[in-house]
Amino acid sequence: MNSVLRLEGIRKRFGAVPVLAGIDIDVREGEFATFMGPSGCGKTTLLRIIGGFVTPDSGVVYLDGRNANAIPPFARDTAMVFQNGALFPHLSVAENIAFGLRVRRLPDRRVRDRVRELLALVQLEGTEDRAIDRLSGGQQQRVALARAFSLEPRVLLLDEPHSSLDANLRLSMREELRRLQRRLGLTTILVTHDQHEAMSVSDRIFVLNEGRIQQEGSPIDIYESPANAFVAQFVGAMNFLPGTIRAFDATSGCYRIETALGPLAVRGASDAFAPGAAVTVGVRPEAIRIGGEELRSEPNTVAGRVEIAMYTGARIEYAVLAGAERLAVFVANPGRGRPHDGAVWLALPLEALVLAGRTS
Amino acid sequence: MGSLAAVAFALLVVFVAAPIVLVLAKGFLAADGTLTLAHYRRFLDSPRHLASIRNSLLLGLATTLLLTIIGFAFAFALTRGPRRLRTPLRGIALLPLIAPHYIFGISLIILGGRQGIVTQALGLESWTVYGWSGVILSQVLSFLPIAVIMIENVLRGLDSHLEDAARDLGAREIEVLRRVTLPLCAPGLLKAALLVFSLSIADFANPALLGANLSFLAPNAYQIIMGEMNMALGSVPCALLVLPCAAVFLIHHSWLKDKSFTTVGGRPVGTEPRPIPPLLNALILALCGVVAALIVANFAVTAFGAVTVLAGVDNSLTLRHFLNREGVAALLTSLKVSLLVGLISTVAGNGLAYVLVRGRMIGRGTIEFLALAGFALPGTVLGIGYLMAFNAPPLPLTNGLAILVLVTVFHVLAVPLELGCSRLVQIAPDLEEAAADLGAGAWVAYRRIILPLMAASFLNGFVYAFLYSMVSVSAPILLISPGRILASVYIFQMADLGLLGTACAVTVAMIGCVLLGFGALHVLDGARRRLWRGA
Repeated sequence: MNSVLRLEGIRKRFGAVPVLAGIDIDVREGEFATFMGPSGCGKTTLLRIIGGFVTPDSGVVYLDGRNANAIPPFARDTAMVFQNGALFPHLSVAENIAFGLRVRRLPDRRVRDRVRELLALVQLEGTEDRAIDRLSGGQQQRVALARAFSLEPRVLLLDEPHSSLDANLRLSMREELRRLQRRLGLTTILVTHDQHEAMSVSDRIFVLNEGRIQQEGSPIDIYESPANAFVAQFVGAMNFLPGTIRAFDATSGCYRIETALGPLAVRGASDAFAPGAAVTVGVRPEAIRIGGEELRSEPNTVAGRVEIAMYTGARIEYAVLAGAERLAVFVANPGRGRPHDGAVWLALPLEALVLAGRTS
Repeated sequence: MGSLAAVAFALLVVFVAAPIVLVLAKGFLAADGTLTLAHYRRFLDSPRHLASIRNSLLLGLATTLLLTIIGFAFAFALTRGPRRLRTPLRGIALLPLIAPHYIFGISLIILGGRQGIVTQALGLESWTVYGWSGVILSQVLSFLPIAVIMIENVLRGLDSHLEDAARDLGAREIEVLRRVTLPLCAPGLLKAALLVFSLSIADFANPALLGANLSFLAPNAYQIIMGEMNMALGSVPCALLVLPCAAVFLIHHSWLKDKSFTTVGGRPVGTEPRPIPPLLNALILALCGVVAALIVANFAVTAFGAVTVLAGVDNSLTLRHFLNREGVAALLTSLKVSLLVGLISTVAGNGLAYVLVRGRMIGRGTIEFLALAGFALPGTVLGIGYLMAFNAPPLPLTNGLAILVLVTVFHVLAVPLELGCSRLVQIAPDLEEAAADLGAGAWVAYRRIILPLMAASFLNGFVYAFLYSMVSVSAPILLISPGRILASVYIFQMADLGLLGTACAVTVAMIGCVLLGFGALHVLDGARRRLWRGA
């Protein structure tokens, strides 16, 4: 696969504040990559550096293998979809989409044809002469996309493009975006703090925090094998249980770990930890099973008491007191059942437990 | 609250509507009380009077055109230009705010008058600053702060992502400016231009000082009323002065009302200075540099004029211009009047705002309209109206300070009123409901919740009213009585008599007072913040 975009050692500070502390990224042809992180993690600045709006203090942006640092935005082969669209309010739909073509002084006929083509692509035929403020939020979003497609960029940059839409619309725009991206085979970079959006559309996710890449990988990697506590907590929810290694059992391939819940068996490589090492055991709330006596026979079972049961429709969210810990437990709602109450048993499946070292 | 609104309405009718109606009516009434167009015919038949109409329009157009360009250049430099230059440029552009706006009328005479410093240095025989060049230049410098503030707000309100998007789509900076920035700013620019136009037409002092043998509407009206004592004929230029103001006012409040592409709370995305093309950058900075140098030079000359016997002619240092009993008395009177104006208009404006906004009064539109009318009307017209309305019973007020306070209060009331209204609209009514829910009565809720949140609005309203009152000349000059002269009027009269040293000294003293006042307010404001935070 060709590398379309490569970032090498990108650093940026605003005044005394370091925003990006050395970013190295390689994005392949046709890939949908996402920068995800909390606000202030530097993801938008990184995107603006790629677009050419911000100059990095050090490091190089390579587009198609060429150093693009000195190329201004208007000459760069990237197209940005801004938050809220940044559609020109004084121009019609057609003139918004045509803006880049007109700047290039394309003949009128070709501009009109291209605009019609782009409007068809985003399913907005017939809105050419509409004023921008007469469009719905979703329609504005599509116009912004069409405008970004107009110059056939090598890389499409999306800066939280759906943050102003309501939840349902966001979902359908997300699907449409993914469809269009696949169809055009367009290398795309999305910036978002929304994990659902990132997980559902991306080929690869870069989790950013405090100006550094915390983890990169497929949505499955990120969710199921978080590289550290930050990623684990930012993507989904996770229970963290502090514990101490007691022994390694070679036949089952499991460590025996003493925790506040009692002894737990957790899989791991035999040479990762020595007995007595301080560790953290992570377990996602939805991986824990909750039930009555029937769970007792399973491995890693602990007794607990339901503190709160929150019925949210699609699932029931429990806070369960077990030993000295409070565990979050999410259970898909099977329907017609009543939430558990009082004393319960929790099963922590072997395959769902993650083990990490801890400085005690 | 209804009765309060009724009182406000009655006062506005008596002190804004009635004087104006009187002025306008006078021009259509013959001595025997019958309707006539004779006064208008007489005015239009006189070449000198006719010229004053043409000259005022030309002046308005020239000043507006120049100021729109210069104001945009400053605003552009202040929002997108080199970071290091922004603070000094803004400081110089806003400097004229602390002085009477006709300070340039005085300093330009010292620089470019018949015995002016520049005139002599260059050995100019035929050219002086009197006439078109002087009037236009003095107006451009006088009204620069207004233009810069308004246009800078427009540029700041522009979503910078729009300009980024244009660049991203292949537009170079000059095309971004032409295709995106300027079209988006057009409604805001038009608003600023209209305001400058109405200020220029209504300006009395600069054309009066520098106009030489050119006649302009406002000085002309003053001359007819005070010189010829011809109220009926004087009504005609007043009507002609009201006309453009009314037109501008109506355009502002109907046609342009919703025409804005910029938002007030536009994100300040200014972390990276924009790469302005070098030529444009040089052009803009050169223009700003020249204008800034002119402002500084004029202020310096005023200070110089205050401490020399006769600047340009006898440059020996002296303090005698400051040792002037009349000037000191005028300054004290000004301070007294301006403090009263500041207090009354701030309390009345904000109180009225509360009644109108929270009481959802039906007459809100009318009351705001009357207050804004008082603000938009040329001071000369308002002054003549007061002269006609309050020179005789039932309300004989012309012989005292009260009328000076009143005319200025009703001239500036719209500013604290609008500041108060726009602030109140931002304060959610549930705050008061929450206070009431917690057991606070209406007065306690106002004092403990609303008042602290409105503090900035009070302060800004007071500063504006006080400043305006200190420097306004066009209305008070018609209403002063012997022995009760205001510093602003005194400065103008001294300058008009050619006593430039005295005019400069009182101007410098006035600027000193204003700066001292600001310092005191700053300290007070700091104390207030600490107090409320502690409470």
